[in-house]
Amino acid sequence: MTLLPAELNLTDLFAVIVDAVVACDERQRILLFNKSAEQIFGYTQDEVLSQPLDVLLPERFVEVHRRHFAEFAASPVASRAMGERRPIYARRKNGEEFPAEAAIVKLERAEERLFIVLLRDITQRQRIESELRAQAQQAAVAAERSRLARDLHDAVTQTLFSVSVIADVLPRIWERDPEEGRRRLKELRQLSRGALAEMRTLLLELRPSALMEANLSDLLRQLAASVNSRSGVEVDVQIEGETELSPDVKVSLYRIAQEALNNVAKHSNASHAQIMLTVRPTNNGLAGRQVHLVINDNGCGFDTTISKPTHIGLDIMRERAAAIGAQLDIRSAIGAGTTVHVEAVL
Amino acid sequence: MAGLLVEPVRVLLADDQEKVRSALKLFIEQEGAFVVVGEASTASDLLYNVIKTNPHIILLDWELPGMPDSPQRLSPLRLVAPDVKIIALSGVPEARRSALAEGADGFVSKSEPPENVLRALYFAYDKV
Repeated sequence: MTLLPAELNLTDLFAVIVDAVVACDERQRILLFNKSAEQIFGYTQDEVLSQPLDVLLPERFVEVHRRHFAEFAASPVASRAMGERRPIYARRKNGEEFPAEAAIVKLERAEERLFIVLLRDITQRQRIESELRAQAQQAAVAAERSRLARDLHDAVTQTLFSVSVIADVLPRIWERDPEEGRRRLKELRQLSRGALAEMRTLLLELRPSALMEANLSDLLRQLAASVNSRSGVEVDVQIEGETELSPDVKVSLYRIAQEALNNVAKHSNASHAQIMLTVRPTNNGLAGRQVHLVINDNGCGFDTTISKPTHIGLDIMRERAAAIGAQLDIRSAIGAGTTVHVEAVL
Repeated sequence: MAGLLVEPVRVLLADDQEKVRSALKLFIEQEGAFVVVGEASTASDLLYNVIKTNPHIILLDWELPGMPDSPQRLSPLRLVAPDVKIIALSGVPEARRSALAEGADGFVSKSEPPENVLRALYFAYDKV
């Protein structure tokens, strides 16, 4: 083992450390201020020697810092990270505050105690972190936008294309066969209403807060029309009772219905689906209401004992139900359609 | 160019949405020069109908479910029908370049006026 040479000067060592190193005595008088500290704080060592540590702190933190310092000095603990949960703030000579990470070490020799503070300026790191966060957020927004663009292509574009194709030949059809013309006109009306419903449903994705303002029965009818237009599945809507519900219940029930109908349109091969919403007073005589939402279809069903990755929608429904304290029950069997039950007491 | 007295040109429609197929059928049969010999809603449906109905032209939704990804999108189709004319239809106008590069004989975006579908059909019809 090599012994340290007796003449090693710790001041030289501290001078090359990237972190600011500030040593002080029990009365918080600065005894040592390394090169990095000079660069970070903007003071020269000569300017701060014998000054109180306070000059390095924003004024509003001076009091609380003194208290923490005194507690640490009196405690048996030898070292401690400052501001364990959030960054602390320090102050440069020009008055500018900056975020920092710092740790303090206590050295005890007989009656005397010295303290060494190691401090790192994290302004740059925080800036990079917040840029990365902003980039991630932008990427998420871009992904969301391209999903919406795809939905527009898949839904509204198809319907409007059909509308424009039929409208183009309608005059000639009408001349030849007015009966067929009227039938096609009715089809046009249905298609354009469908396109409108699809578009309003997509607009809700752009402005989800609108969900909270709308009435749930209107939302479910619009959703049904949109799914019908997009997939051709007939969707009946039955509403019973007073459906003015709190925003979180409304949004959760809407999202569950949306997810269930997405599955119907994508996987079930169903020709028919049904949404039933019932809101009635609880039958135990206590105040409160019982909400029952059922979505069923006559499609191919699935084996509920096998959870496929494509059924990620089922997890979304479970989460939504749990969020409002509702019971979710999904019943299905191969060839027997699927029924989603949601029941909540409010 | 084929005369109008010969048999109409046989067209196969491939689109996953029934309403699109129904509108297109109405639209192109109105011309008299074309007859829709089959409809397909998926890639396997398409292959089956190509073999079964032997069309001259396929009006193909470029995003038809089950088709391979670009640039192999038309490979299975070309395997069973190397000479069939393919007109790609897409909701995405930007798909034009890749559709033509991959061997489609025509491309019409669904946001263009419908007569462009006829124009593309006649253009392909000239080559049938």
